Amino acid sequence: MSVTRSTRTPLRRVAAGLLALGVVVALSACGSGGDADGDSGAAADVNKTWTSVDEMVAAAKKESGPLNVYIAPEYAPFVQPGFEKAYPWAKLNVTQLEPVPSVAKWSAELSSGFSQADVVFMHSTGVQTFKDLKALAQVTVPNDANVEPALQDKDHYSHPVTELGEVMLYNTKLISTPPKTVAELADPEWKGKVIMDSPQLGGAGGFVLASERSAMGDAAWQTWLQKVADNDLYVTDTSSASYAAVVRGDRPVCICNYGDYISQAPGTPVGVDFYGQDDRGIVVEPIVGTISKTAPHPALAALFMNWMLAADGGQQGFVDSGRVPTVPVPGADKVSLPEGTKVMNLYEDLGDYISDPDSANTVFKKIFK
Amino acid sequence: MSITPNAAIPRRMSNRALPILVSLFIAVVAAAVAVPVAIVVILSFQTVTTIGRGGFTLENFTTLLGDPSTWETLRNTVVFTAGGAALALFLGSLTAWALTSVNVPLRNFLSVLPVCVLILPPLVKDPAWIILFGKDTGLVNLFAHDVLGMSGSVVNVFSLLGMITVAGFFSAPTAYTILLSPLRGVDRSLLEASRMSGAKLGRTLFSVVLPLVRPALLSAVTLLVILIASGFETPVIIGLPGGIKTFIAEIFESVSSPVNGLNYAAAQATVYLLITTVLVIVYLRATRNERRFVAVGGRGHTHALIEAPVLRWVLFVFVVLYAILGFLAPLGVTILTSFLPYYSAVNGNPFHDFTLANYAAVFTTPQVRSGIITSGTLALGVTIGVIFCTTVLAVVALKTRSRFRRIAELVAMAPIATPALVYSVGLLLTVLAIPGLAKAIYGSIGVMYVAEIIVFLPIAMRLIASSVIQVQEELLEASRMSGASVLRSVVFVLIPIIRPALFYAAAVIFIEAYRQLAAIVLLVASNVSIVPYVSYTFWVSGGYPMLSALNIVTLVLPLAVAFLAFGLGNLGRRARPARKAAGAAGRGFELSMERI
Repeated sequence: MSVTRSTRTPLRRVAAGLLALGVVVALSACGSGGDADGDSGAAADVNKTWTSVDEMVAAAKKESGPLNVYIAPEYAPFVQPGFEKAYPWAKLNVTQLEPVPSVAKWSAELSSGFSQADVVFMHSTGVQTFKDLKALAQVTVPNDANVEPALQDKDHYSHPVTELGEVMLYNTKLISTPPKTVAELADPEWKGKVIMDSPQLGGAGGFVLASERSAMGDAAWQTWLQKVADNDLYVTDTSSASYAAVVRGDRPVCICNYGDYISQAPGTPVGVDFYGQDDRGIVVEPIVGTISKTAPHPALAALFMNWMLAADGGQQGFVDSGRVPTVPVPGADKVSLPEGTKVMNLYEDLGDYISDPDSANTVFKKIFK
Repeated sequence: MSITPNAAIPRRMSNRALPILVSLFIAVVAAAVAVPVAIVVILSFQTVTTIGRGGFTLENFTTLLGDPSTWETLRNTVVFTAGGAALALFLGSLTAWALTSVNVPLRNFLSVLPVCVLILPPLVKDPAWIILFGKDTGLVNLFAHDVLGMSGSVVNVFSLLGMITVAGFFSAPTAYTILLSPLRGVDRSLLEASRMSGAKLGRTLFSVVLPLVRPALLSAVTLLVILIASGFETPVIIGLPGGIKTFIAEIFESVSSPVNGLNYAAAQATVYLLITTVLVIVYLRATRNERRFVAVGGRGHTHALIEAPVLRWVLFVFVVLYAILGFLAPLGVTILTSFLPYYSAVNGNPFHDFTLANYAAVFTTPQVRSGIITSGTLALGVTIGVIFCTTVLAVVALKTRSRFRRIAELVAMAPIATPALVYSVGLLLTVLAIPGLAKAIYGSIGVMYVAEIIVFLPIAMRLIASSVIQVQEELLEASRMSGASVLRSVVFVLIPIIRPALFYAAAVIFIEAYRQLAAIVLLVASNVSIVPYVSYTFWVSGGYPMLSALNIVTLVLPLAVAFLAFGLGNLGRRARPARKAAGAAGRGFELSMERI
């Protein structure tokens, strides 16, 4: 291709123009965005205590457009068809995102001032971030009253829809008695025998280790964490990978999710231990739904959240897919924690971690290199 | 090369419009590459995710570089990357040479097997190697212990050496596909000349063949180094349990951190960008004089197979062993596991109590079908887009004297300097930053296409560029001298010659795009189900056996595409008459048996 003089000038101009466009695009990104304070009128509508389903339905029908929901892929298969069956006039736009990227994506949207999300599901550790951004609406729906008290958000920013019981699972062919308490993980007896997901990722391992902080005190807790790390800990990226390693026989014990235990195939040589029953109980971490303060469809969002917490609605879907509900559901025995299992109060025993997860993550990063 | 039209032939409109269109195209691609990366760099100097807010700070960098674990991580990354790339280059190049230049039995069938290694997703390959070579429960160690009576562990995949081996085996197909066409393009006459001079096979290989394919080797090394360094599956699935962290695994953890993780991840990505940019510059300088490596000419070009009675069987065994360890063994383990209710190696042989329950779950889950269709459609569109873009960029970069040729090559290579996940963040912020653009395309599947096309440009560029380099410029000049336009010359002369490379690249890109998640995880459109997410659902719900069943079912599509593409690519290289432009002479390639 010969670049002759007659084409050189237009080429330069075109190239310069596009380069300038690129610079403009980059510069336009600077200073753009804002915090999440929406119109005062919309905020007032979103922060609301709904007293009846009929009230929500009447208000939701006045809103147009589908409800925008960010939810984990494993929940989407029953959430979308279930809600649209219960309310045929309503439509959902479901974006499938795991809780962690969900937080990153919504945070980026809010920073840019372009948030179209109505309802976002996340780990409980993500809620404080959005409270600080003033991005969450305080909404009370009727079915909030049915939620397990230990998981209830008294400020009504979040609504726990399923709970992840963090338990000890152990290979019954390798050991018969796992550690009775979380503190025992630092004992020499358990050197080279424990698996957990990387604490920095805020999963089962992070929650269980963080649960000891308030009881031990910060200095003693960090000393204990170092002993746990020095115990030849086998670290994975997810609690499911930890469970698979225990089943395989790589190590005898893992800090894992109760859901892995209840969904395992019959005959799998894995037992469960609910540590800390003589003390504060096990850690239960919920997946929570939050309603955006700038939700385009606040009433529909509230209706959806109420359905998610309904025993014959979303909660039945969780039970049918082998997940633990947060409200009493008939027939949920097969997936729920055994009756009488002591669980920690999320906001009392883990309040520090929930409100400031970065503080614990900084310690985890320093110790579990 | 200057494709100068005959002065007596009137200039066509296309001769004026084409350079402008091509320049526009390059500028658009450059913007799509550069702006998201620029935003990531800007983010690294902030402590908030709002671009332009929060002031300028070096806090992220001082924290990063002041952390001793950063340097240990970098050291692990260097060792892992260098070792993995070296092994991959050895395996890939030897396999490519064996199947293109030696009379290895069944070479047409064997030539597809290395690419099949790519088909297995990381969530299959890495756990399969853990099952095979895990320290305590790996099948090899169990065999050594239970059958051979050995104590301790014979092999341990949870080590730096294990990670290097995994990376080498699973990255070798990249080197293989890059080197296929250039090795096929080595002219028989050059080998004959070496033979006539008394050189034996080994000397010919090292003194004639390897220097001829040096750009391809450099391409392969550069790509392997960057791909292995930026891959996070092996460092996470195998490295974490072994206590070995790499830089990209650190970035993955940072992005996952709920507070200010993106800023810190951006700082890590910026440091990573500096290192890989140096590598890219090294590559560009090393391949500056690519014209010296032309091997595919017009008249008289032929390619010959070496007939070596003993060597052919040695190489046959080598290729088969590689295919077994890289593809057949992981596939076999995955198939067997897919029929198990659970996988446990505590009591010896884990393969018993077979069941079809996992497949029943797969076939009764509606999301599986919709995921396959969506991922397949997305992969097809991305493949077409990538092949088109890189063909244009490669031709401009390597076969023109355009002042934009270096920019074209840089634009095509630049995305590899940024991890896919971080590019995804940058593109997300770019789209959100432009109000009109956000409203128009945010949340649509179009953004997913853009992300994957940009992310895969470097891979396709390396696969195609090696073949483009080897085409002699006189072929194109002959076409132009006969009156054909630039476009016609490229389409009817150059493209047919590099067609095998295009098909190989299409196969690789389709397979990668089909299972890609990192580049689109933050850009997934609403009401869309893709295979990687369906896989994750099965993983958390049913464990490894159910995931294995799903992966076997979803493998059918990319496997079929790989066989089709390679078949078409192999068709393209069989003896046929070259297209004749008026006045241009050219003989097609002839395969002949030649004893050296």
